[in-house]
Amino acid sequence: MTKGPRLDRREVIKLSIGGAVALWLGSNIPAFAQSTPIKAAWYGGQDTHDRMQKALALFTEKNPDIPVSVEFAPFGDFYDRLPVQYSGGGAPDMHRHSMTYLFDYIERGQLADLTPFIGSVIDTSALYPGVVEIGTMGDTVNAIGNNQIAVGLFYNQAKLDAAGVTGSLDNLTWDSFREMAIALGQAGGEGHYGVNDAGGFAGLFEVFLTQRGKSLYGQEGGLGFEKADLIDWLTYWQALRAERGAPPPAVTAESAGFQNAPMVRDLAAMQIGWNQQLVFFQALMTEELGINACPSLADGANNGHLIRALDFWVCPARSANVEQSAKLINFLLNDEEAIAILGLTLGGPASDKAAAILAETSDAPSTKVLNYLNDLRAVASPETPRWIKGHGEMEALLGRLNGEVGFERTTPEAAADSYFDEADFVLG
Amino acid sequence: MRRDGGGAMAVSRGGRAWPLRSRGVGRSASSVGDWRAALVFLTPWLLGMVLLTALPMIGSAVLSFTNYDLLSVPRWVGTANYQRLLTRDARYLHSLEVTTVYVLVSVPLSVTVALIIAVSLSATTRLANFFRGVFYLPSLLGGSVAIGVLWRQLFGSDGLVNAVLGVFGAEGTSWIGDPRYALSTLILLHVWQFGAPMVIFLAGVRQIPKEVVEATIMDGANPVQRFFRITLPLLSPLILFNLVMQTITAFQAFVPAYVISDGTGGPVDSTLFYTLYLYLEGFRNFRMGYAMAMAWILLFIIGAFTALAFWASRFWVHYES
Repeated sequence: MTKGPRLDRREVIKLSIGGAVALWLGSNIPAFAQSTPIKAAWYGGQDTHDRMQKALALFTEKNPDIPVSVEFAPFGDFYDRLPVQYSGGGAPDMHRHSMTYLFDYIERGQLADLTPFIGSVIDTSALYPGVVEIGTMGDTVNAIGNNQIAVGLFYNQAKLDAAGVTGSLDNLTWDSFREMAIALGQAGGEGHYGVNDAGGFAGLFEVFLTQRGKSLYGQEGGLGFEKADLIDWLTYWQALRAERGAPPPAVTAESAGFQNAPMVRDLAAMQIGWNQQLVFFQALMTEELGINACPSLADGANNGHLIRALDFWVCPARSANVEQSAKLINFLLNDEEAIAILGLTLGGPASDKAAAILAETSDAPSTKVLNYLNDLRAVASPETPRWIKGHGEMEALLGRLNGEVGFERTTPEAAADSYFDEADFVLG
Repeated sequence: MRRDGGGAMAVSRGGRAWPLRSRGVGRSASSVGDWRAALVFLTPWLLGMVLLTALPMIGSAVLSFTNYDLLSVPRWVGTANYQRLLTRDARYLHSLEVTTVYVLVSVPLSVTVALIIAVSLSATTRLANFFRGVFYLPSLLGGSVAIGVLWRQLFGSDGLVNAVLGVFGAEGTSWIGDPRYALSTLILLHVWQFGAPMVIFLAGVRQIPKEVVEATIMDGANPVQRFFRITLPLLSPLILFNLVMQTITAFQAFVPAYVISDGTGGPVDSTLFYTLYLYLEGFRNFRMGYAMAMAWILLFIIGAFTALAFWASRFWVHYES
């Protein structure tokens, strides 16, 4: 092996600096420059991750000048990370945002104004009423909905048939639902229950309140209901647990995640959740599932169900790539192939156009969800109320207090007092 | 190390190796050069200390007096965070109670188990070596998310523990879903990680002079007497060390509670560790200033426990000297 020329220390330093400058120049000369990718992020399960990546691959194919890098996580992990990313200026350029925390970011001025892009870059003309309006404060559009969602009651058809209670699904009231859940629990035998304990589910509590002409939050902020409403609510679920209509709190404490849901673990015949979750539950079960509206008042005058956007596309105010991100948002909302790829993984369709595409491409469980939403539109409330800043904390509190009532650590009355005291602090 | 007449590292009359020369004696050019060299070598550590520890701590102390929410400009609120923590936040006091129970039960248990196993494995046989390795393994894995998930599987209502109980005809329960037992599973997880204190005790047991042990045997002391009269007193400095270190670790426990309770501290706050509540307040509820106040109180609590342990040590710790 022959020895090459030896470099002294100065020459090495010169070469290093020269190399670094050349690299820097190269990256900034258009002919050599690679576009900086925009970062897109979302939360969800594996199905959402797979479909989103497929849709983004299609976007990159159609827009080769806008490379996209991705970041995704389950809901809880996503929101563990997001505040730190915003705080440090490293938030994704465009990401999914749940209404659970949306107004914590909007009211703190963290989200970019998308108004300049509405019409010119993002076509919102086909979206259902409310999809854009929920994320609009004053004249500023900060968030654009990517779905429309309602709560639904999922049921195991075979178990309902076996217990002879299928007929109860028609004109379901809170009283008939309680009888049905208890009958299903008893039909299943020891260790089996009618429905999951939804006493801590703010979505269903909101339906309950809407039926009473109230809401989770008032127009001027603060709570939009009375203590008596919460006491009635917690008492209802306490009674259901007492007769095995719903599982005891120790079972509920182990029910996080779709795979641990009482219905999936064959502990309950029914499950209450957001409508699109039927698809996720069905993927985990062999028995056929159905979907029905949740209970309503005896007179049936007010169905109380709300159909509205609960998840949104947003860009951070500090992002340098809002325009490119806006193009991606438009693609996900309006591109026919992307809509078909995403299916119901982000929720129900956000427009008639999306609904029509999904009606042609959906499998049986998805079709049930689409039909459910179509039927529900005729009776659902036309309102699209917001969950205000602090909702995430209040929802967690509702679940905790429902658990405390379940474990007999407190009474519904004392729990309602705690809820209202805490609301004063959290909501201001 | 230079110990020549150049005066670089001469040991002073007081027994100190630093400073190199006392101020009264005057500084030679070489002494200044040595100072510079020392500073150059210390710079990486000093930079790390200042940038990664001191400045964040000062920042944290200042922010604990603000309403910092991670996303907005912090506003000074004086002692409001501390006042609310100590007088109006029942959940905070509950988290303190849960953590104190956890520390007071799990630390003595883990140190005791570590001591017993260390004494049992003090022999230098191949089998003892093997078991020392096996018993140390949980300490390598114990704080990880994977073990938290494993613990969920073991103690869930459909878990292995209940399956084993079922074999013996006993009815299991939901160990992690029932607030009466959930904390116990976390205590058990902490005790299971006795490997680190065990290794320290093992080293201590080896240091006990053989002639002392032989003398007690000659005097007719049985193994139990030897343990309580010889082994335990001679290991007492290490017991103190392990107690202090384990207490600090236990006060800072976070991952097991986070994983087992799905980040909630449930069921019904029965596993709401101090650090978990701090985390929830800071990162989920956007009250970072409040969380920083919690962190400073925790520092004082740990400091107080440590000081108490050192003060009490004068009554039971025996140093050979």
